[in-house]
Amino acid sequence: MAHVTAEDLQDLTARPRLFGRRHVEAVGSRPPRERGDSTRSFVLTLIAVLALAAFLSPMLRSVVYAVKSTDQITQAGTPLWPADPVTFQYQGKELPLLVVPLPDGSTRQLALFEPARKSSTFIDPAAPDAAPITWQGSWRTLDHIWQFAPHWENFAKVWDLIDYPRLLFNTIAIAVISTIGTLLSCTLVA
Amino acid sequence: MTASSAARPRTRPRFSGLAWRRARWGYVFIAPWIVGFLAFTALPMIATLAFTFSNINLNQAEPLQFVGLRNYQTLVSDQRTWDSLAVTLKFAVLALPVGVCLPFVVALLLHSRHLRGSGLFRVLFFLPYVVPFVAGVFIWQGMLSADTGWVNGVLKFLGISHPPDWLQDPTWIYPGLVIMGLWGIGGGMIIYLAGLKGIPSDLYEAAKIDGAGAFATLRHITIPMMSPVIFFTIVLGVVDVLQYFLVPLVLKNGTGEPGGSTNFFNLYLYQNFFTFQNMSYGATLAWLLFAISLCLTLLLFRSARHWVYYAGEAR
Repeated sequence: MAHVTAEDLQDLTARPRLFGRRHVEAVGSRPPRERGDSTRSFVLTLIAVLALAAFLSPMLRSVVYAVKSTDQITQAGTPLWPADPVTFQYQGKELPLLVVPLPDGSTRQLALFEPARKSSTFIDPAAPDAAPITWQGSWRTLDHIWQFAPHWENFAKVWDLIDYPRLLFNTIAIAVISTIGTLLSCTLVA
Repeated sequence: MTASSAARPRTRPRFSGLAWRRARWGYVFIAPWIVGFLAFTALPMIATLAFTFSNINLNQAEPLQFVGLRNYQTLVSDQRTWDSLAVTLKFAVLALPVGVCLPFVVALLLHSRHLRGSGLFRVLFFLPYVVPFVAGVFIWQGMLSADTGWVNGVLKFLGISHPPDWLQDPTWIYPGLVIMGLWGIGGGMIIYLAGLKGIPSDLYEAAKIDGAGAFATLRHITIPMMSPVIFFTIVLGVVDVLQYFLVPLVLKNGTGEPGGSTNFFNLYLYQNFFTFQNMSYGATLAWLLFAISLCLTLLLFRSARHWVYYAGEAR
């Protein structure tokens, strides 16, 4: 093996090929961590967490909306979390509880008895037998009182609405068949 | 004829018996692909080219005849074609830089040695890519809703009293659609990450010894070494953005609302095929799109000589 030519020598001393075999060990390795990097790590990881939170927030929103009631979704000014308005049983009727600012400056939670545009009458849940309280103003400007109420039955509704197993089967059939087809044709070509 | 061609020196020798026997198996193995390509790509393309010179309209029972260049005359004088092309280009000017740069920035972030838990971040940034397309559109529609959307919720929290009505305003619809497209960065991000991992670390070490800072390293090592990957992403991005119409189709039912601002070129093409059932004119539009894609891609390949660096290539 003494036939080393000048060309071979030149090849050995030439600039190393970047993606060549000689540098396989360098490919994919990260530079080693150094001391004093912890602040940078913290800042960079914080940026990544914030970006990720914004990036994935639509997913969180869709999860929350999945367990909200239709009423809550169509109304404005409802809480971000799944909730139902708190009601008060009065004479066999469900009256919504509202936060009512009273003329004396205090606010009380009262049940809306007779809603009207200019003034409405309210029942005090603490004293339902007392005379209804008349309040001047539009009841629509008042806030509801909300309680946490995830509507898990939305999933049951969807299950009844669509033939989920059938759709799932169709999707899986397409996925399996096309994957097999790709694998077969591609391995043949390769 | 035969004599002159035989006299010319052959650039490629004819297959000898052995070479042919070897190559034959190669052809057998790629035969499924060749058959598929001929039957489902080449043949339909030739067929649509033939359509453009005829009058196939499934709605009207006109007798089939050769109409010459009539479809192309219609194309030139059809204002809707050029309007829809303008819509696509307007969107492309906004969407393409975001679609090329943002995955790169995210990939740089995920590749940084200062990032803790980069494996987890990689999975989570890729995650929305697997959300079904239509589901993603509806999720973002709610997210960008003027009153109940969280985007405007944040903007109001930051003190903007009249945040844009993203999907109903002809001006804001394009940024809105770009925001919707953010969930598609996963694919580009993975390709960029693979490219970043392929950059040999000795280049970074050399840059460090030479006293290069983070920005100089990015400018003089990472970006040049990544230029083939960036080029690849740009080419695919151009082709994709010219074909963009599915999101507006799902979102606006193909109406082009608000104010015709979502009448994308491919939407018009789709309507010609499937709503008006005018196969010939649809095919003409499709060939126009193909010609534009081809020209842009060729231009990009021309420009690539000046800015794309291939390590294995002799300079």
